[in-house]
Amino acid sequence: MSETDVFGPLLEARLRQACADLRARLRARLPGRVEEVLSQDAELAGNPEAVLELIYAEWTTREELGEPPERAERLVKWVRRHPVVAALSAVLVGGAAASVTSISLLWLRAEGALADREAALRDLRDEKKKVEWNLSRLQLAAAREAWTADNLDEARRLLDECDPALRDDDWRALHRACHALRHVSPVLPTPPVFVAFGSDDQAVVAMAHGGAYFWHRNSPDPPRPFEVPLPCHGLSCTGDRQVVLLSVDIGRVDLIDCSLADGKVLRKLTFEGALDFGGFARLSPDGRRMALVRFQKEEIEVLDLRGGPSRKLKLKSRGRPCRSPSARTDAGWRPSRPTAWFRGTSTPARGRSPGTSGSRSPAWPSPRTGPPQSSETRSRPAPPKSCWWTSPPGRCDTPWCSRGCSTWP
Amino acid sequence: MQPGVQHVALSRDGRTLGAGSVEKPVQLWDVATGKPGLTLRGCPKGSISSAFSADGEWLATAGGDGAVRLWNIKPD
Repeated sequence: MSETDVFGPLLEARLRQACADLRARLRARLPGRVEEVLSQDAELAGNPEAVLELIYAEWTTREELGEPPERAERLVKWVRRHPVVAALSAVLVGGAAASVTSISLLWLRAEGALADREAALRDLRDEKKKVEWNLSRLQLAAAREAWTADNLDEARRLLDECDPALRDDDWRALHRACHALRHVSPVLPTPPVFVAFGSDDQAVVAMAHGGAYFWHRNSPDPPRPFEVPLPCHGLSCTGDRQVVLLSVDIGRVDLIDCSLADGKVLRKLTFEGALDFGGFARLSPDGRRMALVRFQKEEIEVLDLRGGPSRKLKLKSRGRPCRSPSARTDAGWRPSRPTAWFRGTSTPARGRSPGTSGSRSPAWPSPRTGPPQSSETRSRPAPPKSCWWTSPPGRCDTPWCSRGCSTWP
Repeated sequence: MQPGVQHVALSRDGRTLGAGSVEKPVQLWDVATGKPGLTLRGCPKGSISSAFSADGEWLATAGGDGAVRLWNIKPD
């Protein structure tokens, strides 16, 4: 008996058991091609050597005969082979896991606390904003109260202390009201009763009882006084250095042209009996026109002091446009030209108001056509040389200004 | 209009009216709309007279305390 006959069945049995074990333990299975070959070739299946060669050939061709062991199994084997290292690794991994877990928990807890604190901080900020807003409102109310009490310094201080981010329209309106006052002159010896701006808007003239004061608003110098010859009832500035004073005395109206440089009276014009039956006179801001209001008449007479025509404005116009003495409608002031009573074409009685000669007043020029070119206008006599504002100083022969002109320098 | 007005002033353009007295501060009014404008406080004894400048940006008041005050009323 040869060795093959003796070990052949044993080897075959051993191989079959190994294959079964492999299938059972490693869930391995032969490639389908090997099983297919074995199932088709019974002779080959009965020849263990051929099977071994087949398996060897398959193995050498790197074809897997079974699945590799699982990682857990390999791990168990590795642990069994290296217990100390495995224990240390387990401790390290466990510690790391515990650390990560606790750190995560602490992180989550800190995140929650941070969110709570942020919410609380947000609430505090909102509350702070409300408090600051209420405080600014209170401060603005206090500033308004100080402003109402004419305490501008306190009001300005309170306004300046307000938070710039909370300054709204109310604050700006009050700030503007508090800073509207720009200049305050020194206190005059007597309270001023009239004020007027110069033509340059820089000079200010104040008229008080017993004198007038000239003041330049951008100058640090105090107001400079100058004498006024008559009690003043009106004031206007015609130029930088000239002022017209209006004085009314028992029906007589005096216009005095003074120089602000030295207080000298340059010209004087008197309207005798202009307000015989009561009334008052007013000067226009530029000093070029004067309005006479008579109590016994329901009209206002406007005199052009540069020599233009006079106008009579009815008080009971009921909203209709004012009419000129010639009944032509004109809503605005017109360029002036010498009036009839200034030109000498009208000679009202002495002591009579010049405006009462309305029938002799020239026609009111049309707004479109300009001054009328009538024969009367073209042939009108030249104005007197000493006429008010239009001629060099000299003696005036106009009846109603003879008294005043006599005082001209 | 506030009671006790003692003086009024009209600007050159006719848009602004100022009214005041020795008891009340000068109150500016918009003539076109009739609405009150700036209130000029700062005169302890009120004002006796007032006048607008030619450009309408300034108002001069004669105060009851003897001082002349200049107000900048130019709108913002």
